[in-house]
Amino acid sequence: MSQILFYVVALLSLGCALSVILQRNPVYSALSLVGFLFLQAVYFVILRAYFLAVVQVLIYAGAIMVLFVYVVMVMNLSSDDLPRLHFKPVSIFLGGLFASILFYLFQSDKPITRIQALVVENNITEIAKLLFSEYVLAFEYISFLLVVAMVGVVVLNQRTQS
Amino acid sequence: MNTTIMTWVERRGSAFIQGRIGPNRVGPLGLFQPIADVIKFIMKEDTYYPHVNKWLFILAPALSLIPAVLALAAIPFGPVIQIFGYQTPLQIADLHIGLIYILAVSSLGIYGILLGGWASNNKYSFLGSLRSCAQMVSYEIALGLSIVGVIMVYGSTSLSEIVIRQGGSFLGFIPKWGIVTQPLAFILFWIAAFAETNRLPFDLPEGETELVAGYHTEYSGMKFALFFMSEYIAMFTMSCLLATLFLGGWQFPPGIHELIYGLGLSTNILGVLHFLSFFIKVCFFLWCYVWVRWTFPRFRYDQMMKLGWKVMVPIALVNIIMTGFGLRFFL
Repeated sequence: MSQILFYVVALLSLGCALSVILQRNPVYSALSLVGFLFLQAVYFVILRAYFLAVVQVLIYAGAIMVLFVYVVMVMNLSSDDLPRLHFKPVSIFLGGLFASILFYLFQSDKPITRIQALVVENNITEIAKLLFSEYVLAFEYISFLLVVAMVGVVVLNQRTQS
Repeated sequence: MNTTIMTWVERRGSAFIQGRIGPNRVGPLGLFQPIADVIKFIMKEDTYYPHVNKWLFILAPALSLIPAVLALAAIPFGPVIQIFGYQTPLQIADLHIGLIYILAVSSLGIYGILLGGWASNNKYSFLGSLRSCAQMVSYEIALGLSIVGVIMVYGSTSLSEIVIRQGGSFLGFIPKWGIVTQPLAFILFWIAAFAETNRLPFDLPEGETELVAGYHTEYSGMKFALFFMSEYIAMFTMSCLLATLFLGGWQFPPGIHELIYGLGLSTNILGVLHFLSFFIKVCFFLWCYVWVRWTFPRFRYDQMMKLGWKVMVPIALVNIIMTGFGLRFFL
């Protein structure tokens, strides 16, 4: 059952991902990205990582992408306004690099152990325990980074206004 | 079901507040008026305009209704009862992350409004949907932050768990409800709930005096009805959440609790009574929605944003810190 679901979701998310880069209309692109991020949450549900799934929907689909779609809609660009980019060698190089990294990751048979904490029932407590014991430093770094980014945005905004 | 009755309550209630009679022709007290409305919506011509973006125009009402219905699945309506020997909780999905799930799903409701406004290709619709988008994103933060205090006090994100832990009382007569332990969070959540459902005094997305009807100006027939229904279902969900988090969900008030449990009723009858207790609380909040709508004027846009970002978010943060200190030193 979950296998069939996985393949259906995989096909759908591939379609969404392709439509993100192939659509000429930026609004459709952004909406496809929303669909893709939502389908990723379905992957997490299949993996029984419910907390991740819900957070994925809440943060990406529900908050960040809303702002993306909002901005794209306000600009309301039609496909004629957009310059036709010709970055072909660069894009082929970057795509190749990314593909080889992915290939390398799939080849190496390192066991992924940490993911277990995300899979157990009531994983919210398990995640909290991991975050505040083993990964506490990384967690604090990330919060610090986010605060710096937030203050930066406020400062930049005020400078442009005055 | 809830929507149809709520529209009737809304119209009769508004008439009551404004000293009118309200719809009273169809059925006793006009109770069949919602059914007549539904028939009207279905029979009405479904209008399309050449300038709309057809696919998104069709998709938008559905996208606004589905999240609203999904969110209801995690609400606990009552305790565990027995049906044919099976233990069944009166809850569709008892998720251990129920609270975050509801927040996540209801945050998706924005897309319906945003797309509806954009696809209509009409400046009023678009302005309405932009306003609504900005408003819902801003107030979602206050909403989420106000819940954190409740999660800290009851130590769980599962809604059924939170309700169970709200049982019992301080000194025998003060209930251990969220409204007692987290009064500040209750007020913040209530205000944010009004903003999230786009109701007065926060109904800027559809401000009739400025924007015709806001994001659903171009919609007619059943598509308009879907937008309408999703607003009412969102109101119902928010009322359920308010009752669950802050008024003890299906718990009875302390005195009544001992009285009812003293009668020695069977589990199922108790379940029904618990459901009634929950339902009365929800009805109270639903009535408040109608009451507030016909009592307060609309905010101006900058006032609303100021309230959300400069008043509610800081208070919610202070509330979290205070709750932390409270838990550390008094428990």
